[in-house]
Amino acid sequence: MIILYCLLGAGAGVLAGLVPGLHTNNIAVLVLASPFFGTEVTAFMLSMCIVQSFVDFIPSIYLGAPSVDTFEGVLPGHKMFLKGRAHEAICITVFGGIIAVIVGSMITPLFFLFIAQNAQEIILVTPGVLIFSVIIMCMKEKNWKKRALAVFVVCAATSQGMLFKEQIFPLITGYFGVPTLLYSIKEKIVTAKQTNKAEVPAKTIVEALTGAVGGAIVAVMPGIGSNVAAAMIKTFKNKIGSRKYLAMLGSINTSNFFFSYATLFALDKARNGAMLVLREKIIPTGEMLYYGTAIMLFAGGLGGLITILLSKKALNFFSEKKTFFFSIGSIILMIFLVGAFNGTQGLIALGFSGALGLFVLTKKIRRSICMSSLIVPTLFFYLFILI
Amino acid sequence: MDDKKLSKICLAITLCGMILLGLTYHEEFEKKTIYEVTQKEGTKGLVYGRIEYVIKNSPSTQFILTDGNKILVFYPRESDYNKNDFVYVYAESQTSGGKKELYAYKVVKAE
Repeated sequence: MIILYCLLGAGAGVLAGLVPGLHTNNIAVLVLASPFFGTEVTAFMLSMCIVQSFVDFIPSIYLGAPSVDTFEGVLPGHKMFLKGRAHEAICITVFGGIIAVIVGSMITPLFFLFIAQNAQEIILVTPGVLIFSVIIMCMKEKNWKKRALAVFVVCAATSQGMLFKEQIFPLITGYFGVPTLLYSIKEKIVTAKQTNKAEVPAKTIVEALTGAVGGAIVAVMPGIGSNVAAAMIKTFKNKIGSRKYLAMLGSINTSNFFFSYATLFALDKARNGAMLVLREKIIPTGEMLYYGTAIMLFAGGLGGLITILLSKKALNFFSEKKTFFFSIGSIILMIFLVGAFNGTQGLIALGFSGALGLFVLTKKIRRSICMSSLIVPTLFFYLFILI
Repeated sequence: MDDKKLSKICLAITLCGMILLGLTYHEEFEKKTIYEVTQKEGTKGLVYGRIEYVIKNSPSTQFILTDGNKILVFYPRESDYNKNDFVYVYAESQTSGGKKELYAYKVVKAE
């Protein structure tokens, strides 16, 4: 029966991963209202999140339609797509995810103990890490003009984050979803004949391991997402190739979900919608921690298999015309989902955040700076606790 | 490494996960009725019912839960539960002063 819930969760994860704009958080809202509890809901939610973290890259790379967790990967992924190596790009992200799952399964108990024993220190360190991440993101821009623009984006995104406190989904969709698709429609759609040959370089294991560590840190820190972590690691590494970067992003994305489960148990803090549901619906015992880890290991392997299979099916499926219609369809779907889940206020938030997202894209500033809308309000919250 | 080899690794991880799942699966709080939970002291279960009467909300919570049968529930935390709220209770049966009651680990309001 539990395997059935895992498979249902995997199905939901595939749906959330493939449909641009749909996120596990949207499905989590429905699960929260359902009469499912304990092991059932754990199996469903964890499978869904882990499988989504793998499948997420398919629309990002084939369609250029990223989710909040994959937008940093669009450019390197799309570069490979244009060379006809989209399937290889997908396989590299799968490899990264698999490494994260293996590392996660092995060190979850140690990670849990470390976090639980250092809970107070983590609260003290959090504001510093958040300030540091914002400064790094701004300073990493090429010249002072762009740095000034980045500071402007930080201020604008922070205002939006504070004004639309309850509208995280529209904000994220506005920053990363709609603008990318609008931009890709405006630009001439280029498709290339895709090859089904994929070679995952063994060297990418170093970046995959780095990503697993990055994902673990992100899982503990509030307000910082996978992409901010990727951008920060990129800052410390002088030059990182497309393949290595994709392996790292695949790893961070999966590792983030993996370790957010242990963080929930250690700190009683939910770092994403799925963990919010689990916090409500399960009793955090040692058995549940091991059980959840086993589910995520199972879902990780399954997610990898599904993604490789779907990627093969997607090869040469997207022609110029299809890509255009998929992009238009995705934009309409995103607006519809925001309207359905967040109402008029959500649509207003989407308008404002979409405008900022487009500004960032056209001015070619790092898009992860838009995450300031979550980071800075979280920073204020932690400073308020400490002061 | 090509995609076939990667698929094989994924398959091996899926199987490992399945085995680990079999080893770690342990249903502690199965859905049960008040009657089923109170049959033996120390039985744990997830009980769904309606709050018939709230005795106190603070500093700990005590209320009478009904699903056809009635029982006193003790929840060691403050709450805002009201009469006629439908709730799921993660509970363990215990005896206090010779009377059966439920000790609640967690109470979740039904939406």
